[in-house]
Amino acid sequence: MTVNGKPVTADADARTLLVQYLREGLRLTGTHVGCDTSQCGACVVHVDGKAVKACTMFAWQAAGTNVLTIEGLANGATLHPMQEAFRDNHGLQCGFCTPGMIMTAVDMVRRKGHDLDDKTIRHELEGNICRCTGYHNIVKSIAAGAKAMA
Amino acid sequence: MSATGIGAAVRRKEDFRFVTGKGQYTDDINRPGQTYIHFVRSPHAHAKIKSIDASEAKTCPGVVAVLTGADLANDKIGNLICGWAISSKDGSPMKMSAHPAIADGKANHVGDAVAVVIAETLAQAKDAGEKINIDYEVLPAVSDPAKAQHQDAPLIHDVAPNNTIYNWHLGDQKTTEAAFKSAKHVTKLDIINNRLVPNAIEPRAALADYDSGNDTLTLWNTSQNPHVARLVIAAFVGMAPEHKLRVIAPDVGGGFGSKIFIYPEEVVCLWASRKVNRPVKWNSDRSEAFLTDAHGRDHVTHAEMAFDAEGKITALRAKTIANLGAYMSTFSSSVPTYLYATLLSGQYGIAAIYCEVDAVYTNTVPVDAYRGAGRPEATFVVERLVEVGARELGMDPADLRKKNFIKTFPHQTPVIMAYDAGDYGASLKKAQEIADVKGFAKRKRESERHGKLRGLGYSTYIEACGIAPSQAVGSLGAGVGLWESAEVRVNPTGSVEVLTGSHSHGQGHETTFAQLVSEHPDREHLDRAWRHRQGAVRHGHLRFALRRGRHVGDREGARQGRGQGQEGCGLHAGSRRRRHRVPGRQVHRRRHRQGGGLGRCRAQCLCGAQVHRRRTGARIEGGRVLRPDQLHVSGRLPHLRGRDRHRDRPHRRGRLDRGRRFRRDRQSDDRGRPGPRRHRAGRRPGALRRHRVRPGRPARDRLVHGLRHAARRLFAVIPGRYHRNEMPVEPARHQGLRRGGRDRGAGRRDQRHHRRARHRTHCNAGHARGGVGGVAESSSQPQGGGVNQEKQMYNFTQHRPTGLRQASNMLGKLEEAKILAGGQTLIPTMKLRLASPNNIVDLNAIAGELSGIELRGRSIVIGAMTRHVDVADSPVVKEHLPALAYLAGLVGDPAVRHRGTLGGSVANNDPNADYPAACLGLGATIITTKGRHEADSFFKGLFETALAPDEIITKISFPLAKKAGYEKFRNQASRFALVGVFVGKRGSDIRVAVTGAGSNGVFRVTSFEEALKKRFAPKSLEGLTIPADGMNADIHGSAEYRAHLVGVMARRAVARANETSARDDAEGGAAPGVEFGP
Repeated sequence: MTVNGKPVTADADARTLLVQYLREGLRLTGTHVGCDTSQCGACVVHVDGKAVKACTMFAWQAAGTNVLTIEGLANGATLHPMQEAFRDNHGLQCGFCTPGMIMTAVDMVRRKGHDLDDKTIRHELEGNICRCTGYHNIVKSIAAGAKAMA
Repeated sequence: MSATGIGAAVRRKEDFRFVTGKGQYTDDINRPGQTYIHFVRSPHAHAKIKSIDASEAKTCPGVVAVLTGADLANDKIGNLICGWAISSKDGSPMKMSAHPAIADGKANHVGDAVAVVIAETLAQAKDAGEKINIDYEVLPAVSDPAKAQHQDAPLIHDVAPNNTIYNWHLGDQKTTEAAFKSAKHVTKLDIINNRLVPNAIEPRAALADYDSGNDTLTLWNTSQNPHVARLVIAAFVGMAPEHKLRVIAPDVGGGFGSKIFIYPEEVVCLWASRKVNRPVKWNSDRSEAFLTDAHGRDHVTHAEMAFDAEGKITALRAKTIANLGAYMSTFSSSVPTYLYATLLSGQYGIAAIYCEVDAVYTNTVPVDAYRGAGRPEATFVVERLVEVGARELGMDPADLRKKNFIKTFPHQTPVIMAYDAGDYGASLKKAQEIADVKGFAKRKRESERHGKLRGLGYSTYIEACGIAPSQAVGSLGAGVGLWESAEVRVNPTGSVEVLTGSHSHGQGHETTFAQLVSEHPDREHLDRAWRHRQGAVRHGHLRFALRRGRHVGDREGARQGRGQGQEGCGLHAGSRRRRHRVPGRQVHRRRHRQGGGLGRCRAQCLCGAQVHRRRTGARIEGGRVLRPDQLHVSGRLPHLRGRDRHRDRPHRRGRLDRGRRFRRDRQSDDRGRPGPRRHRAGRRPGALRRHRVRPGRPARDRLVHGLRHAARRLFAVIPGRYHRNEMPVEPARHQGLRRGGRDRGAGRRDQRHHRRARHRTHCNAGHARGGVGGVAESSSQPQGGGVNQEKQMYNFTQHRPTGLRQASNMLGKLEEAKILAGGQTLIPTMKLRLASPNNIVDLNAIAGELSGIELRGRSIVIGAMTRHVDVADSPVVKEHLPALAYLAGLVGDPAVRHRGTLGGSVANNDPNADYPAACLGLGATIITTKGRHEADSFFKGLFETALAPDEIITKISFPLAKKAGYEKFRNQASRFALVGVFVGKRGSDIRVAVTGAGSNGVFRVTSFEEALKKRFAPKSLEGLTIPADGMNADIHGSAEYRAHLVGVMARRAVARANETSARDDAEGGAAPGVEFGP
């Protein structure tokens, strides 16, 4: 598979999840694990451009795909507009859910466009849980990031 | 305010690493030669451990060691302790039981660690854990605090007769009794403040590394206060002297109190690392977190409030039973005492208050501080009494409050606290204005016209934050931590480094302390320095003897007010004087009297007394445990006279629709000088939201009574954000309220009033509702004693067929083979070890030939491997069968919809899934490798279908309906249907299919169908009900509630079907967009 633009190969147990491979095999620890039941969204990455939960997919299922993690979003030192928006709008506190939030947000813009209202954002964020902020600033960040991505 | 100093909205310094995925949390850290530890936990709430046979486990592949409580005892590893000494009213000390890090002889709650396996990989550790045979003798258990003291309740610890830890009191009983005797009216209430599970998004973790060359231990852990962890683990557990123990808390993903405490897992990792002479890593699963992270609240209270003829409150008395769980956690004793009863005066001038608190042991997970800790409980009691009192007296709740507000300051309450200033009436007035209370009656009438309920709820509260540093807390029994340290280094190049004992786990300390430094009077020098080094701030490292606990004020304070002031003092002075080391000191034990607002309180040397009294054998080295007046600090340590406090006037009003949603929340806050605005802004709503994040009372019972998988399902109680609305908070800073230039903390003020006002609003609206959501109970249980088997599933062999026939052959020939379609159900089930197929046949390899959406005559045919997102977004489906597109858009969440498939959902036949309702409601045909099934005969029961073992669904044909609609009442977390109803009308064929409700899976309601045949309108269903027999019942909703919801959802589904149909007619068949929610 290709991860963040770089081709990678590995042999792993069949039971190795994509998130385990990313974190332990490739040391891309920006993708987090917050639950056991595919609900928290801390592990969201893009597989072939679509947001998926890396804890609910086997690593071998990603063979031949193009995987993008939070580490691959920025262009060198230049942050992706969505990352910048989270930073500008204080869309994070402890930062643990943030990579998943940002990856979900970027996918949201791909599917829903750049002019996102509050209701759409909140609905689209259903698969991501943040226990610090109450989402208010996350919603603001995503709206701002979506516009900036236009 | 400078452009970058305190109060300025600057971008957080730490955010760059967080938004780029470069934060470093404990689980991100690995050490060479690392091993993994797995805890084997008790599945019983109370059980004698008769024997542990680990012989088989020790021979398993990769196993390095298997250790038990007996090994821990042999190595003389000490117990975990509670660090705040509370005495009963007769003067006797609290009955603290032994708390070994691994149970030795008896397990006292579900999740109590019984043995550990250390292995080369986590999977190997878990596999071996299942081979440990533990012989339990199950004992009677008690989980309800109200029953813990009954004579027939099982005794949990010999040291605590009647399971009573202490019987504490505060206030003047005689005066209070006299006031009640002369009262004109007495309001009485029984209040249950249910147990909460904190659920920081980052599960707890620990990594211990023993360096045999230097005989030193290093622990990386998810701690809010690594310095307290080091103190306790060194001084009380006796793992190693402090100079040989380093505790590092890197980035921490939220704590909310639950990461303050010192937990068994940290102790065991350290011990095991030394034992096996290799690094040992533990990372909690979410399920494990439910069983091991300290919970919050759990009070049962009877409270009474006395009023005179004019409605003045003359007295308050309360008797609270506080559940501390199976063991006393680090600060558990202080929460229902000094953090609770001292605030029972609220904002009211109450002459007499008397509070009794019985802390009890039960066979439940330990309870300790969580978001507000004790203070929300107090506010809940006071405000409920005032609100109910107002109703009983026939007074306006706001007027009753105004009448009783404290108006002259300073004000000494009967429960220790002295208030220095406030203007409560002004805050209430402001809150009423911004909530437009005057317009409430009109809005209520409007709501009623729409069949909605609307209520008005008030809550006021007073907060006490910034508990320490103070001599006050020492005088009240605080023994461990509660002290702060900071060090400012001005480096030779002029840059400034700040090191603090206060740890950031989301609060943005790095930014705040940099702002503080930049505000230094010697601005020119420090500004330059700060720019130069960007105010490098490190935290959480153990650099000095002087330190404080997490309770101090850092959690809010460092950003938000009082704590800032405290920190600021130290920082400023320190930066001028450079630094001084704290000289060594002997442990002191001394008593002295302390006057002032605290009255006659006994003061003790903080830690020394604890150490000596308990005879733990701890070694106190290097003068690490000191009394504040013995300390020479690099800076000034402000000693407070009692606690700092701030006061606010919150007020809420909400309209309740059937979904129990608050339309408006309003709050007016007064917390003095505001801290960094940007940081505060995001924080409050998070705190507010926590009241939805609770297992609720039924869940508590589930947690402790040995249902191994209850905990996992409980995560499903954490709601998502669709249903949330945010609560605007307006600062109401009143001039003249600040004294001595001090700022006020912001604390967890939101919690107490929010919950109370919410409760009040519901009462006011006369509205009550059951729970939400539902996740299927599974009868499958893991073998052995493990309650925690997640993330590492059993291994299997994967197969990627090149065609359907090959896939079918594989299924027929391979042993215990399962199909992998989207995997959104199968993979989590395998992670939980509830499914353990030997072979996986992956249909994704041939997804191309099984995907697609096509209009064929009067049907839409959809390939089995078509993802939910493609159905939801399909122009064909949207145009010809919009109800199906709408349904697909409601499945799970976007990431789940990207993977999940139609065929997988239908073949799995989860009783809460959406698609089975559509199949049955439309009379779909399920086409397989072996033939065709009509929906009516396809779904056979829970997770059962007419499919043969080697039969694969290839596509499903949905006949077009003239009218169709789907309505779903969702579990707020899992998105599964608590109840979902699909109605379809094709000529005279009218179908009503229900999912989520039936204990036997999806079903049709013929009585509804007959009624709709007469007229296809919601009104036709009015008055019709279905029996509760055969309905699911779980923590999310009773059978009766589900039966009721079937009627409601059916009416809404018919309305939606008619609406869609009418819109189609008007718009010439244009498909409506997907709409969401009620």
